[in-house]
Amino acid sequence: MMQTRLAISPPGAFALLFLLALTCSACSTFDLVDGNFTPKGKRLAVVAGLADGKTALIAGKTAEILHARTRFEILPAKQVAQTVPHYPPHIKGPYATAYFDIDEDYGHTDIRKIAAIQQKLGVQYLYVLWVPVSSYLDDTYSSFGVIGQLFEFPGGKEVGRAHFRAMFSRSDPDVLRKALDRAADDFVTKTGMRK
Amino acid sequence: MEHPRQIHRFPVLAAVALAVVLGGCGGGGANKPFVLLNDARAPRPGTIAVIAGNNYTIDTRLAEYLTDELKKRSSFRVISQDDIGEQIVNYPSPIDLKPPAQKPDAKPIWFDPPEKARLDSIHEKLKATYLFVIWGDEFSATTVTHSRGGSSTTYFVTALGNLLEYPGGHAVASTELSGSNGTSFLAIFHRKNYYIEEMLEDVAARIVDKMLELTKANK
Repeated sequence: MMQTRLAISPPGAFALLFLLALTCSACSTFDLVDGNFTPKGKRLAVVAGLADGKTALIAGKTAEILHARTRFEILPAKQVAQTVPHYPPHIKGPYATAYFDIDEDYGHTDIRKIAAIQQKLGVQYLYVLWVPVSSYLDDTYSSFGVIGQLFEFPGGKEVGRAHFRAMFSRSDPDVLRKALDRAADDFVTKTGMRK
Repeated sequence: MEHPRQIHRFPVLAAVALAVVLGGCGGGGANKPFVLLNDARAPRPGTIAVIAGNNYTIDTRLAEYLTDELKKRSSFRVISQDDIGEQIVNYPSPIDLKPPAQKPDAKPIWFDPPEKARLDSIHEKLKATYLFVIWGDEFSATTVTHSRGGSSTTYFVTALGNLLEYPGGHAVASTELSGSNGTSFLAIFHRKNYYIEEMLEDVAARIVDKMLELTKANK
């Protein structure tokens, strides 16, 4: 993709972004739809909901982090990519618009497409992640807006929702890793499936 | 991984924002809604599909508005975004942008040359005479906090586009058009994103104005 010229670069914006990231480190990134969640199976796949590199990257890294932290059996990202045709797929996600912020609309998701993917993967849980917003301040740092839904099969019932921002650095992979670590930590705590 | 394009909105002090806005005005903004390339003959009414150059809302909405304008005002047979979504696997997905070389004779062809094969495969499915690929680039916002209270936000976008003619898939026209829109005191009465969508609608209308002027393909 083209190296876009920076239209505005307000002084202090970079510091503000870090401040936001710090402030939100304590924010909830994942919530159960029903507080009384009891897992009915262990096999879980993390799937990218948008057909682009950054969404596939975040889904892949999330799968890797969850594998180390949860008692769910996480399908490796490579296996997901090999099993789902034309991966990463474009799935209509839980938002109406996503210009600067994601305008959540959890009824908007294409459940049929998600069910078809579950059929291919044969897992009890699908954790679908979308990254419809990316903001950048310079050539190094970006901030991704991430939204996700956890579905339980059979039935395709929505059991969890994720919504968070993840910092990304082109030169330091730890920046993204830390954001996804926090989100994964919230996920394993709230699902009660910490390793 | 593609480079992110959207720029976050940050509240800034009025003085800083003014400097930024004035600085931006120096460039003048792009004003080439629809330009024929290579002395190409004007496109003749046929089937046309507007292809969003990325899966960001800014790109998909721009493609929707352009599709609507062409449907309403032109004699082109316009393929709907829903039909494109049904026929093209994983539509929309990023079509990589690459700026043309900084040479006086460089053609404003915005897509990375390896993407031509993907556009050809989209054409294979849709069988349209024309593909109009459109991106909403440099999408940004500046919020000014006024010293006497209150604030206002101005949104900016640059629409980049190419019209490809088939068979062959040659780029016959290009678009490079800046748009902007600022919130007013009526903002509280409008839905969220109203001013962004009004800006996109205006950009799409200006592209179609020029396209119809050159093609004489008014309804």
